[in-house]
Amino acid sequence: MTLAITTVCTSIAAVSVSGVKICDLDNIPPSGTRVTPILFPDPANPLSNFTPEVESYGGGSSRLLDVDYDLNYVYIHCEVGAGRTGLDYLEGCVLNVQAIYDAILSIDVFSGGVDIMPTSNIQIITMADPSGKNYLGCALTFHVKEFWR
Amino acid sequence: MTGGRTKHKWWRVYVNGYDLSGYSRNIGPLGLVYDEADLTADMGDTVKGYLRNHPQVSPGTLNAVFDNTGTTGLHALAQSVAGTSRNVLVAIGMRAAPMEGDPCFGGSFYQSGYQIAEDGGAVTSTIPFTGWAADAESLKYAMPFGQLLHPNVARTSATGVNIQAGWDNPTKDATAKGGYFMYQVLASNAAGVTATLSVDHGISAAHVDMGALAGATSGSIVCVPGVSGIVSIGNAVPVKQFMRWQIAFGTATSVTWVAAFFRNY
Repeated sequence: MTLAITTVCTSIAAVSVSGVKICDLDNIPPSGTRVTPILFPDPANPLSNFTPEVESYGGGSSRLLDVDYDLNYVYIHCEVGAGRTGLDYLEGCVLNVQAIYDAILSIDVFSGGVDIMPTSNIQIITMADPSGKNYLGCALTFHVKEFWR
Repeated sequence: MTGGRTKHKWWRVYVNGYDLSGYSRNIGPLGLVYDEADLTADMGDTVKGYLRNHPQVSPGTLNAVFDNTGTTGLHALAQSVAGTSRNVLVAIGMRAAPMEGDPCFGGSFYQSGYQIAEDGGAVTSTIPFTGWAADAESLKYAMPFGQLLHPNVARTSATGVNIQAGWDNPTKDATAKGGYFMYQVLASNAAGVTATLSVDHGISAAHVDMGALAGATSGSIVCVPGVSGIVSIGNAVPVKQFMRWQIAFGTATSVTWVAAFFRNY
């Protein structure tokens, strides 16, 4: 087995959440214009807390090795202030985040990893798209375990 | 059957014809442990010497989430320690839900207790099991590790008998030491309907080479949730290399069941 971070990201992109486009590492949009609601890997910090754990004796490729890491995603729902009052889309934003977490929790078997769990605090705040424009959204983190070797 | 390592989340626990997987937090250790007979000759041996004595087989302790769902819930099934022994089957899925050929542990054990406790905010149940029940179908085998014959899937009379290819055993060879068959019926189309669950074996995995393993059959049984059983065959019965599940429908049109065969090596 080899490290499969990009495969895991592809598996996440294949998850179906009604009304939300989920991006792989290779199709992060340059901006949020006309593509929201959208979930994409955080371009500034896609991967964190990478922690290999040796599971057996052996050197090089012969030892068994697990690895845990966090995949960081950005969810943007709509432009800040959109709607009549500026708060019209807040409920829809929370509903979509719920749906994303439900979909991730429902994953049993997926390519690349052996376990995945949403771990971040859900904090609906102003999030920037890759171009720096502000949107209503939140940062989401998915904790992944792989059997590396 | 997938090779390699796995994680606990793909284990499944079946007890007396009920799927307790959704309640289970962990179970184990799934043990086959031999007593040691100390045969040291004090005046002659420099180091102590042992031979193995009688083995102990036990699924250890089932730790579960307390739930009082009627009839099929954990509390309803486990609150009474008295009564018959429990047919316990632990299927170990390999990085996916358990499928045919995956490892499993099973046997007939008495439940030796039932405890409810608080654990870090959750209300949990603890269910310890004894070693192999002395009045069980079979005390012939010290081999509680087998292979899953049939996963938790419904079979219907519309699709009929099994004509699929079989699967291999870990030693990739035939054996001549018998084994035992465990079945657990989880659901059916109606109360009182019947079917016969059994084991096929063959010299190759191909359908044409498969045939019934004599004696390894439930016979015609009433298929309702809560029906389970162990059927052992003789210690010297030849078992061919490849195996698969089999079903013959009586009055049932749909049966959801799990089964395993514990080949003796």
